[in-house]
Amino acid sequence: MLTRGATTTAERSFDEFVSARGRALARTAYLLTGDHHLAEDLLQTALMQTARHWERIHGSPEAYARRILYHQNISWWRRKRWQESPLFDHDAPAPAADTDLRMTLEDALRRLTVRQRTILVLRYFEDLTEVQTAAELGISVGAVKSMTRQALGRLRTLAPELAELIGSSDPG
Amino acid sequence: MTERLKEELRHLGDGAPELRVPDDAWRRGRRARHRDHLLTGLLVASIVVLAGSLIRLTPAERLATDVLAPRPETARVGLPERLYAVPQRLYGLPDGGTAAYAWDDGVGENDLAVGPAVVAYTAGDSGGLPVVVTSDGGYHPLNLPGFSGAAATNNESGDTPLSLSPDGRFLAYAWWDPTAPADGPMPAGLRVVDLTTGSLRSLSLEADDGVDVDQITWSPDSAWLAWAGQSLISWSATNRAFETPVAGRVAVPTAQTRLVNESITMLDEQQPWDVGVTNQGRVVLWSGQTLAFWDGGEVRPVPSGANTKRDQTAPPLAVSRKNHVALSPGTGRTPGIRVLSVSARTDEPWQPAGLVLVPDDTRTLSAVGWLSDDLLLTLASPVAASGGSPWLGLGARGSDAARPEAVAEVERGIRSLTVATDLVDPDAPTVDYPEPSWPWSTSDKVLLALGVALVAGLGLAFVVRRRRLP
Repeated sequence: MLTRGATTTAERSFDEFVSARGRALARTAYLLTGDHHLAEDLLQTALMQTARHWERIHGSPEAYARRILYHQNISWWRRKRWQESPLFDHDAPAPAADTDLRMTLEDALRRLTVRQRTILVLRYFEDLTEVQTAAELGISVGAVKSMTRQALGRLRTLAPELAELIGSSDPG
Repeated sequence: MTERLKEELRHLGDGAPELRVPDDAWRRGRRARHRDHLLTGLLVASIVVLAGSLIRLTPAERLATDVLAPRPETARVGLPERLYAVPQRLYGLPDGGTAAYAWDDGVGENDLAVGPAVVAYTAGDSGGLPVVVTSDGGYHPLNLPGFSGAAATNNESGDTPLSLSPDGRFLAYAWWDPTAPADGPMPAGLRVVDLTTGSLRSLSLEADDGVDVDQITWSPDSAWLAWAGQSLISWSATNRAFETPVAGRVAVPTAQTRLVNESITMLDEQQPWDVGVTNQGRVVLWSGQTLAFWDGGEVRPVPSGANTKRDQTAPPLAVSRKNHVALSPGTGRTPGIRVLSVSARTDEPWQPAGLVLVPDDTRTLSAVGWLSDDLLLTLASPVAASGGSPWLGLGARGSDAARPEAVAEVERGIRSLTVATDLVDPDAPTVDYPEPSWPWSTSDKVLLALGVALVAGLGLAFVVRRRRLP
């Protein structure tokens, strides 16, 4: 059991961690959700859970918080899956007026499933290998490969103009 | 090619809007941690409670006799080799002596047609939970309407009078109604249950303000009942005063005989009397100093030469078919049971007919009943300071003083033991019956249900909370 002094020390360490890595976690949360408010909720949940199990975290608290971000986002998606629109609504190309490549990418990412978006964020934003991604999400490497291929293919369908970012075929 | 994708994602991340980091994340996290500890503690506590309640209801006690193979009809009947006491959980309710019952209503059986019984007794310190052991070895706690032993109040002697007829068919007990209006006589008397049909017969005993019966005994042929008790001038649920010893007899009516219900006032009004009754309806009375008999007229004292100081809570006299009377032991010259022979003539002294001595100085003896005219069933109880359990033994009446031989164990906590002597074979008096099944009290059931519900609920909550974690 923590003493009062130990609690104060732990709280100070937690505050330092949030100050140092909060911004980076916020970026990941935003990319995972594609929504400002959802990202805020996701970040708060991750930080609260990190505080809750602070004594049990023997490695990097950031890795622990990130893992919560990934899993909590997918968990929410599972619970809210019924709210998602049918697939064919999203398979139509984005309006041609979206000429800005980044805006197009952001919009196309929102139209991916949460799993597909999470895979892309882990692989290409967090820069994890397929093995690391599989370990973080608790799935097989084969599943990571398959879902990555599906996610990129869907991006190509949703926004053909992103071909210069993701190529016209599977990067392999 | 995917390097461009990575670069664009970094730009997207850099352009993410500012997210508010809550100031109280640490405090909320710690509160959740404390809730985890509380939940875990409750889960452990509920498991302990559940395990404790299961241990309390030990497997041996819950071995249901109804799942045992039924005893064949030709099975021998006899005394159980071991008489099991009622678990205290069934009668140990802290009612402080104000409630009519000291145990759950659900503990006793309301259907009194349990079949012929070989043993009956009461259990409990302040009240007497009546139990009969039927000829198939089943133990049946009974809800006897108005049983005076069930009332924890106003029973100064602590007696819980009930008596099994020698043929095992009838159970007689004393009853009263403490809820009756205080301005009238206390409704009280004898009740006789036919254990084969469950029918109940009430016998009112007329006296000043009611008769509190503390001894009941049967004649060897189960045709007569004799009782002894106190006639009270003032008797209510909380008060009793001016006691006068009285006794009486009742002929159990059959198709050929009519009900006889008579009572007498004792010669000596200063002390209680023990009572017995012969097959002829002759009531034998014993004060510890005076022997007397009563045939419905005057009480006639008879010289006995058996002058001892009578124990305050002595059991009824045991009368054999040939009118041998086993007198309760006293603290006088002879530390044993004195047997006298009742003469056909009422003016002759009764003749000594043998002794049954205590086995050693750590036990006292009391007569339970005659298995034959020469074989007396006795209860050997440890004196207060010594340990050990009581036992039932057989002592042969003879010219030489005999010491009883133990035949059956009796667990502590059994009181007012009475045996259907006709159902016990003198040559093979005991039978190895299975250990009894005791019902669960309502509090046990509630405790168990709460424990199960708590464990299930907490376990579910624990699983749900764990699944939300990465």
